[in-house]
Order: sequence, then structure tokens, then C-alpha cells
Amino acid sequence: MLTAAIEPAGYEEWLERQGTTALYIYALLIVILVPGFHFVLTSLPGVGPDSLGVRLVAAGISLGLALAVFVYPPLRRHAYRLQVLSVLPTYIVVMMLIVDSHNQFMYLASGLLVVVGCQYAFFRVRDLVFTLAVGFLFQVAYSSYRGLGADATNHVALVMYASAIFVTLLPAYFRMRAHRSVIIARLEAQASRSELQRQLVREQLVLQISDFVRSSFDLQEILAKVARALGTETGCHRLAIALWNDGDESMMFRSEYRRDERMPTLIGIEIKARQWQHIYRVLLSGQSIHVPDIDTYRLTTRQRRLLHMTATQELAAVPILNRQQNRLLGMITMGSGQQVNCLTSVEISLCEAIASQVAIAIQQSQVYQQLQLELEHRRLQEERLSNLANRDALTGVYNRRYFMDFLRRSLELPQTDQLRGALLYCDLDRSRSSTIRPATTQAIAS
Amino acid sequence: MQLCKIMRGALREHDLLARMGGDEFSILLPNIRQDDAVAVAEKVRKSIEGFRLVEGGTAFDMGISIGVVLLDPIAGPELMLARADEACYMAKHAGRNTVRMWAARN
Repeated sequence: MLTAAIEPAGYEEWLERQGTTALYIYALLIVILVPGFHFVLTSLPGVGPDSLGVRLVAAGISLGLALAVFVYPPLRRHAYRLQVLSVLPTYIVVMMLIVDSHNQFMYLASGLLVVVGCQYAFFRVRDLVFTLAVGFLFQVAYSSYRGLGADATNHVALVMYASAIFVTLLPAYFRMRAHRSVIIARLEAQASRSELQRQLVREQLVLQISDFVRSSFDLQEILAKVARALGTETGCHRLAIALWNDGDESMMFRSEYRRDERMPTLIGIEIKARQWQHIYRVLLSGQSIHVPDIDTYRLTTRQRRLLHMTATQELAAVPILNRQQNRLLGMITMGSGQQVNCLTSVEISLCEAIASQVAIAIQQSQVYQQLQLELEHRRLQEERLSNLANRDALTGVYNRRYFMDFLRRSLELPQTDQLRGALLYCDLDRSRSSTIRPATTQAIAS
Repeated sequence: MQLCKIMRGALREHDLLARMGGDEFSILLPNIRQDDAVAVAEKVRKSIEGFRLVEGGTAFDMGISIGVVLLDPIAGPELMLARADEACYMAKHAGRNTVRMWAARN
């Protein structure tokens, strides 16, 4: 049947909403029309008496169901199944009254009206088929119970009913199928739109991070930002970035994002390559690792205990690679807490895209550090050279050339009237000492 | 040379001392008033005064003649230096070991 096909997310909700509305509408129609028909039909000339009691019972059941769904909302989940229960009593009661009236024409006409109405009451073909079939079989059974099995009028009525059911079923089937496919297409379009939006958000995140990587040389800051942004986007409990340490073949966690601040921090924790050989081999080959559940994964007891200690149940590790030199620079780990199988391939591939940006940031900062060192070295050398060029060889103070340069530059600087510079020109006077006593020089000078 | 150290000691941190050749030195005093510039010059003069230099077996009593000129942005560096030199010359003529301010009239 149709319902066996895979339904997109949201179809059940749609059925729930529509089923509830239909339940209310049909309960209202039944309550108004079914007892009302009693008075209309029995007032017609030549039409026999009718039982108001059974009509009221059928209307009461339908009304009761509608009230129950209204009062207790969780029942709405089953609304489209409850429709059968809501309509079926009315339908059976109508069959009963038709047989009781000896298949009078007016009763037959009102019964056919109910059949057509049923067509619109349901959303699923199997509910409609079930209701119509039960009604027809009831009519067959009830008429033979009343001893009308061989009656010609009864046969005509049964044939009419069977053909009415058949005529009703076909358009209903096509109507429901068309309707369902429209709904499914709409839901699928919605789903793909929201998936597109999510993809867009993720692409923007990658772009944003790549911009940031290009605008900053501060590796710590970049790592912190990446961990925060990626952690929030993927919704994992913990996201940490560890960098490879060439010296002792280990990785050190440098930055992390924790959804719950009470989680133990990983920053500063070292992972030795030889203790996690399996994971390292995979990462070195450039592949990501996804451990859906650490309890079932190939790990040593110690490794498992460590992961439990950090409140991790599911784990994914994505390598940060220098693709040109085929070197492992570090890794990004994503962990999920209590549940298993939370991380999807989408999140891991997003993480991989970001990892390549982080790799750029790391290489960039290495180059930057090297440049800084070289620059500092060159600055020192230049300072030494300029000292030689600007200093007086005998006294060590500045020489004439440097002084003139400096004078020129200070003349170009803006000066206030109160505070101006001054230039002193000094010439040493030497006079041969006439006496050995230094005191006399003062006397001569003054 | 010792004399340079003495002179440096009389100056502020950001004052610039340079040797122009021979026994001649220039000092640039940035951001200073005329009175303070003269005071600095006096301080330098006093620090040198009474210093005895022994060179090749002969002892010299040292003194210093200083010409002071305020920086004038309109004049170029060469003119500034020439004026200061002139003032220094005046100082030397007025009796050695003195400080002279340059004035446009003389």
C-alpha cells in the first residue's frame, strides 16, 4: 500500500494536524445531521418509523471521541486512526436503519450520501476501504439476520451499495494519492531548503575562519576561535585541538570548546604517539577516525578509562595535515558525552574542511615566527653597522654627519614658541698649566 | 674620552652630543626654553672648568667656550650651525671659558 513507502520527516505531523481537524468537522456534521435526518425522513409520506435512539448513540460516540481528543491533546497523535472509530458507528447505524426500513428509497439515498461523505473524511485509502467493507458486510449480515436474505428489494439495495462503494473508492484512491504526493513534495522541499540553509551556514563558517586565519598571526587566538565556532556549530559536547610536538612525538591539547564548563579540561594534556599507535597510524595516513562508541571500539583498558574520565562516549578525530610535506601537524577531536552515534558524517566533513584551514594557520605562524627571528637578527646587525657609521671613532659620541642629520630632522618637527630646541656649539680651550695646583686654573679662567 | 663623559653627565638624557672635529662639539637640546638652554650651557662649562688634561707629558687646564642659539625652523641646519659657531667665536673673544647667546644684531 501507499503507506509502506518511505515518508519524509514531518508527514506524521501533517497527518496529525489534518486528522484532528477532520475529526472535529465530522463529529460536528454527524451530531447535526444524523439525528436531524430522523425527523426529516420520518415526516415524509410513506416512510416507516425510525429509531432516534440508535442515531443518538452513533452521534454520541462521534461527539465523545472529538471531546476526548480536544481535552486530552496527546490523543491527536492517533487522530487519523480515531477517524475510523468516529465514523464507523454512524455508518453501521445507517445500514441498520436502511435494512429496518425495508430498503426504502429515501433511506437508501441518505445511506449513499454517507458513503460519499466518508470518501472525504479519510486521509488513508485503507481506512476508507475498511470502513466501507465493514458497513457493507454489516448490511449483508444484518439483512439475513432479519430474514431478508431472499428479498428482491434487499438484493437491489446490496447491489446499489456495492457499486456505490466501488465508484467511491476509485476517485478517493486517486485523490488521496495525489494529495499525499503533493504533501510529500512540499515537505521534501522544505527539508532540502533547510538542509541548504544549514550547508550555507557551514560554508560561511569555513569562509569566516579562512578569512580570520589570513588576517591574524596569533595561533592561540585562531585555535580558540576555531574551537568555539566549530563546537557551537556541530553541537558536540567537547571539541579540542591538539598540536603535534616534533621533539618528543606527542600531541598537546592547546585549545578546546566545552559545552558544559564543568567538564574536565584537556588543555595541556599530552598524548604520547606510542601509546595511541593505532590512532596515529590512521591520522598520519590523512584519514579521520570515527569511534561511534568507545566501549565497543578496539582500545586498551587504559585508553578507555582515560576517555571515560574525560566524559567521552563517542569520539571523532580529524587530522590537521601539511599536505605538501605530508606531515601531521595536529588533530581536532570531537566528543559526545552520554550518547553514542551522535556525530554524523556531515559534521566530520565540516571539521575536515576547517582542519585544512587550521593547517594553514599553523604553517603561517611557523613562517611568521621564523621571519620575526630573522628580522630581529637583521635589526641587531643594522644597529651595529649604523653605530660604526654615526659615531666618532675617538670619543664614541655621535659624529658630525649624524648630528647634522638629526638637526635637520628636529628642525622639521613642529615646535611651540615656549619650548624650542637650542643648539650649543662648544670649543674646548686648553691653556698650558703654569702651576701644578689645579686651583689656579679657576683664577685664570675667571 | 673622559671629557665627553663629563659633558654627557651635565646633559639631559635625550640631549644629543656630537663631536664636530678637533676640539669642537655640538649639543642639541630639544624642547627647551632660552633660559634653560643657557643654564645647561653654564652647567657644561662648569663641569669642564678645572679639569686638568695631561697629554704627552704636558698638563693642560681645560676650559670651554660655548655659543648658544635657539632653533629657528626657517633657517636651515647649516645656518643654525654657523650662528652657533659665531656665538662660540664671540665667547672665545670675550675671554675664554664663557657662554654667549647668539643675537641677530651682533
